[in-house]
This record gives sequence, structure tokens and C-alpha cells, in this order.
Amino acid sequence: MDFRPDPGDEQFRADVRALLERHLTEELMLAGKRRYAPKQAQLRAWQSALFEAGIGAGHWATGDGGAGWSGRQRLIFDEEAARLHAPYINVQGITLFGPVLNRYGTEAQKERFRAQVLDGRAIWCQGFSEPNAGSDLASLRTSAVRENGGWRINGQKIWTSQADIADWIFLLARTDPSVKKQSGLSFFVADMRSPGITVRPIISIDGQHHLNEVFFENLIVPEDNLIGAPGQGWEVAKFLLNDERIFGSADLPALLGLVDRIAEIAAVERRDGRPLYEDGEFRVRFSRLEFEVEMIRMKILEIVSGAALGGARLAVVGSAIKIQATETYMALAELATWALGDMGPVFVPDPERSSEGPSVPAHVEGVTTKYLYSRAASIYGGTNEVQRDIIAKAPFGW
Amino acid sequence: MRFDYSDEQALLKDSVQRYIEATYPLEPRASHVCAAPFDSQRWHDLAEMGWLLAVVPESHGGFGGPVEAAIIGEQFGRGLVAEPFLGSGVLALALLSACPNDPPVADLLVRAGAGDTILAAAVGETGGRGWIDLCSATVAQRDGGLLLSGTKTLVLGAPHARTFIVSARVDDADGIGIFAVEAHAPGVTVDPMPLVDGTSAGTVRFESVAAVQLADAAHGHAALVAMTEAGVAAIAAESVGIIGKVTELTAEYIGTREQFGAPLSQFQVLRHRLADMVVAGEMARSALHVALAAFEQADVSTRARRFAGVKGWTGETLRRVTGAALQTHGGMGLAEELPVGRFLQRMLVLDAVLGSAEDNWRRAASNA
Repeated sequence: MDFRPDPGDEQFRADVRALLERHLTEELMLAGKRRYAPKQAQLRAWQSALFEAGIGAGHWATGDGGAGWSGRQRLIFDEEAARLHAPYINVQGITLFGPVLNRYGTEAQKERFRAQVLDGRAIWCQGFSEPNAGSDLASLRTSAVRENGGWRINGQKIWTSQADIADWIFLLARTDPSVKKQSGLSFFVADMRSPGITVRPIISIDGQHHLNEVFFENLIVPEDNLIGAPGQGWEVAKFLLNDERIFGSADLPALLGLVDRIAEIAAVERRDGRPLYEDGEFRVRFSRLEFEVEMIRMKILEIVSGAALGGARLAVVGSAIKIQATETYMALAELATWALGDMGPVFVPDPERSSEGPSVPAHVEGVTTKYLYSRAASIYGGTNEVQRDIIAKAPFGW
Repeated sequence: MRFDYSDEQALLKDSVQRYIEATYPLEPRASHVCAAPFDSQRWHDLAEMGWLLAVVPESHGGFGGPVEAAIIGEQFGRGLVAEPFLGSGVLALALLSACPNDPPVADLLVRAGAGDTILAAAVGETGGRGWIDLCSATVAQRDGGLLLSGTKTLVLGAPHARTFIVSARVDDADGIGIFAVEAHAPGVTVDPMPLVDGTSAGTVRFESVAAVQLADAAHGHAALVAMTEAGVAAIAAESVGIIGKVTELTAEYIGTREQFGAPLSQFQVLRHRLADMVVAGEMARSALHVALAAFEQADVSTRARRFAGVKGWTGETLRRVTGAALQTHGGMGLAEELPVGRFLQRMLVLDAVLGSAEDNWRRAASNA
């Protein structure tokens, strides 16, 4: 163990920051600061800008079209992106599907999909959960039956973020109902414009449209849309989910963004006639959460450096960080909303989508909606209860 | 930055682990209060292996640094080491080695590191709760010497100490200095305060006692900060060891104890409690890493905020985890013959030393 800072990291940080500053427009930064539900044009614009900067997917290997960043460099990028209010990236494409393609895809599949993920032409969504397969994902029922050199897919997905704006979906379907439930699954991709796909919006408690139901009715996909071998779907999904827990659910940019936002709110709002920033109770709550974010950052650093991945810890550490990071995230969103005082319960819809919302100061925008949607964090990616089941089982073998 | 052990660090970890497992089995104690007498053989063992010098910088004849001290602390936590390592090996030595006045400092370091003399840090006072600037003890010039007066509380290892390292306000200067006082000097009274975990402490009263200056009023505060940082890191490391050990004990217990016709481990509410203990252990380790990284932090206020946060988080987590372990053991958790309760006793000590979780969250907030 050695905790001396690496001068190479600081140079990398400066370089990434300069690159981000050059490519972030005012509009993108405003979107990044408000963090309402992502929009297709913004996802494309930001991904295309990153691609132009040569860091479309910095953490992918150079041979795969990435910049070959180490885990630590990826984290530095996330920190700097958060500080500069960079908007969302298409996590489903860059963080989740891309590594699966690189690992399990054929050369032809890489050729076909990679460039479009990298330059933002293709926005991706994830078709895993189903009405009867949420936490118990392996029970999913969507079926894929082989016919005429392709597959016929029938079934339904739910809670599909960004299905309404996605060009492509990756999904798990059951290709062999006769074997153990985990062994009968396969991993497919489908063009969202295919006949046989219908998307229905689910409006969430924040009044926004992030989530959807996706229906497959006799959707036909060619053989080449199967990633990995038939029956390999669960293995692929586990590979993807482990990364999702660390870089998706433990969303460091979102945590850092909220810390910044709370400091901004506390500088404006007041309590007992004094600036909120001077309030002892507020300061204790805030310092505590700021410390938690630093601790989570340290845990992610430990994970990406590979040190936490030995033996029994491998199985628990992804779940542990998911639980801690989502709990901290929800607590931060709650504190931010509380800090707004009388403005806390005001419903402020996304000004880019609705001109009918109330007129409020900039520090109020996107806070309460974020709190409401933050409640999804302990549910998605496997509920925190499922993570606890995974942890309790792993090291002790019960 | 690297998180895995170097070859030397792995060797150190193995040898501490072996020593602790051989020397400190978690056997029942007949009676806990004062039942862990100071064992001078063990103390000399620790000295001989060089572990007493872990918090002393290499420039002062020590070895390693915060990481090595953390490796030792974690294993000591697992074994509930009863010797005053935290008080004498960490707090007193970190305080002493941060004082600038050679030769008295060098002389004490050599003797303490060899195990020939035992030091105790006498810095806390009633109501201070880890606030190092609360200091009403004073020192004054009299007849060419220095005379120190005041009362210090929760002095770890006080009944065994041969020399006290004491903080006191310097009469004609605006600041706190650090002084060495011999335990047998006239005017020193030690009221032993046995602690609930079987370790020893005391309230120490100094009445016009001869003192040797180790740091003047311009340098005392910095030395106390260095002591606090080393202490917080050591407590965080010991806590990682404790949390790991009680989690293992609890897992073992619910894997074997049966009720309602099934092992307790089949009950989801208990499995989830255990999972929460595992998460707490992972995050406590990250809190320790925050402390170790904070030693490299140049900004004074960020640094103070980080160490206070580590103490706050660690104290809270330790309470939660040792409490959960006890609850999961049912009535057996309260029995002295099971080791699990002793970790809860140790928690009370670790939480109070250098101020409780709440005191430290407030301290973190004041440096935000």
C-alpha cells in the first residue's frame, strides 16, 4: 500500500480537464447541471464531442477503439466531468454494451456496432427486467426461438430507461426452457425500429419520462444479433452487471454533482435568519455525506486498482459499493431538497420540455425531481435487498 | 497510489497475524475488569519486533509509517490486544516524535522503542472530548526549571507509564507546549481508571512537577495534530480488524445455532444483518484508506476534515456493528465467556479516545 499521489495522475487530470473544457458547450453544461431525464439530441451531441476529442470510450482498450485508460484514469475523468457539469453519457451503450461487445462479440459484430456506439450515432437501452422478473432476473420469460437463420422473439420488458430515445436495445431472452433457469438465457441485440417492437412510456413519481415498457411481438432478428453463444446470456449479464454496480450504480459523478449543488443551495438559502451554510445542524449533515462520498471514491479506487478483487471479496465488493453508494446518493438528494426549504416541495418540470413550470431561481431547478427519482437507485441494478442476499451467500457459503 | 501490500508489508502482516493468533487467543476471561494485567514480556516482544516504532518516522529511527502502523493495528484489533499499544505505542510516540527538542526527544524515543520505558500521552482534560486545544494545565519557569500543574483524564496506560508526555499552556506565551514528566516525580498522582475492556487508564494530577520541554508554545499544537492523526488512523485500523473479527464470529454462530428447526443463517432478517456488517467492514476499510491518503494531503483544513470524518464514521460503524453482533448472538452475547461482548467493550474505549463520533462530525463540519 502506498498512498502518495502519482504525478502522472495529476498530469492526466489536467489534460482531461482541458479537453473537457474545450468540448463542453454552455448548453451541455446547463443540462449537466440540471440533470433532468436525458434527451436524445444531448446524448448524441456529447458522445460525438467526446469521440472527436479522442475519448469516446476512454476506458476501453486501445485495440477496441478506446484510449486504454486505467481504472484510476477513468475515475479521474468521471471526477473532472462532474466538476465541469458534463451531461449524462449513454451508459447503456458505452459502459454496459460496449465492454460486452468487446469481450463476447465476433469480429463482424464489433465491425457492425462499435463505431456507432463510440461516435454517438447509436443510443442504446437495456432490456433485462420483466414484469415477473425484477430482482429475480433469471426467471425472465421473454422467449427467442430459432427459425430460418434467425430468432423470433416474444415477450415484454419493463423499467427500460431511455427506450423512447434509443436506437438499439440489448436484451436477455430464454432460448432453452428445458434447462436450469440461468442456463437457458441468451443475449441479443435488436434495432428499435424493427417491426414487432412497441414502446409504452411509464411516467415516474418525478413527473418525468425516463422509463418504458417494451413489447416484442414476433420480432425477428438475424442470427448475427446473438452476442455470445446460445445459453451464455447469464454469464454475459453477470459480467455486465458487475461493472454496472461499480460504474453505474456507484455513480460518482452524480454524487459529486449533488455535493456541489448542496453547497450552492446552502450559500443562497437561509435558516433562523442566517445563511444555511452557517447552520450547525446542516453543516454536520453535509460534512458527513461529503465524507461518505470521499470514502466511496476510495472504495472505487481500490476496486479498479484490482486490490479488492481477491478471493471471497470479489463476490461481495460490487454489491457492497452498490448499497453504500445508492444510500449516500439518496441521502444527498434528500438533504438538497430539505435545504431548499419552502422551495423543496415545488414541482419544477424540465424547462427544456415544458414552458408551464413555475419560475424559480437556478439553484432550485432539477433538485426535487432528482430526489424523487433518486428513490430508484436502491431498486435498479438489483435491489439493495438482492445485493444483501448476494453478500450473505458469498463469503460464508450458506 | 496502490492498495495491495508490497512484499515487505505482506511479510509484516503475516508475522503480526501469526504473533497475535499465537499470543492472544480469544479465550474467556475470569473477570474482565483489570483482568488483563500488563505483561512486560509481551511488551518486550512488541518492542523487539520493532512494532512499537511503527508510527515513528524513519528520520527518528522508526520504521515504515502510517501504512505499517495500520497493518499492525488491524491485527491487534482482531486479537483484542490488552497492552497499551494505542496509548503508549501510538499516541505517546506519535506525539513525542513530532516534538522538535533534541536531545530529550531522541533519548526517550530510543528507550520507548526498545520497550525499556513506557510512555503515556497525558493530553486530554475533562470536557475536552478530543479537542486538543482545550488545555488548562500550565507550565511556569521557577528557579531555572519548569514546573507543570494540571489534571489529565483518560490517560491510556497511565498505571504502567514511566514517563508522561503532557500538553500544557506556557505561562508567558500564547500557546500549548509539550513536556516530559517522570511518573515517580514528586507531585504526580495517578488515579487508576480501569476501562471496561480490561485495559488500563488513569486520571493524572500534576502539582508543580518538574518538567522537561519537548516542544515550545510555537510547536506544541502541530505535535498534538500529528498525534491525533496517527491516533485516528490507528483506531480506524483497529476497527477494521474488530469489524472483520466480529463478523466472522457472528457468521459462525448463526451458521451453527438452530432455532425453529433451522440454522439461524436461514433467516433472511439475520442474513441481511450480516450482509450489513460485511458492507460496514468494506466501508470501514475505505475510511482507513481515506486516513492513510490524508497523510499526503497538504491543505490543513481538508486534512483536518478528513481525519475527523474518519473518526466519526469509524466510531458510528463500530457501535452499529458490535451492537448488531451482540444482538445476533441473543442472550449468549451478554455472557462474558463469549468473546463477542468484549469487542463491544473495546468499542466504548475506541469511541471515547480522541473524541466520540458526534464530537468528530462537529469537528469535520467546522473544517468544511
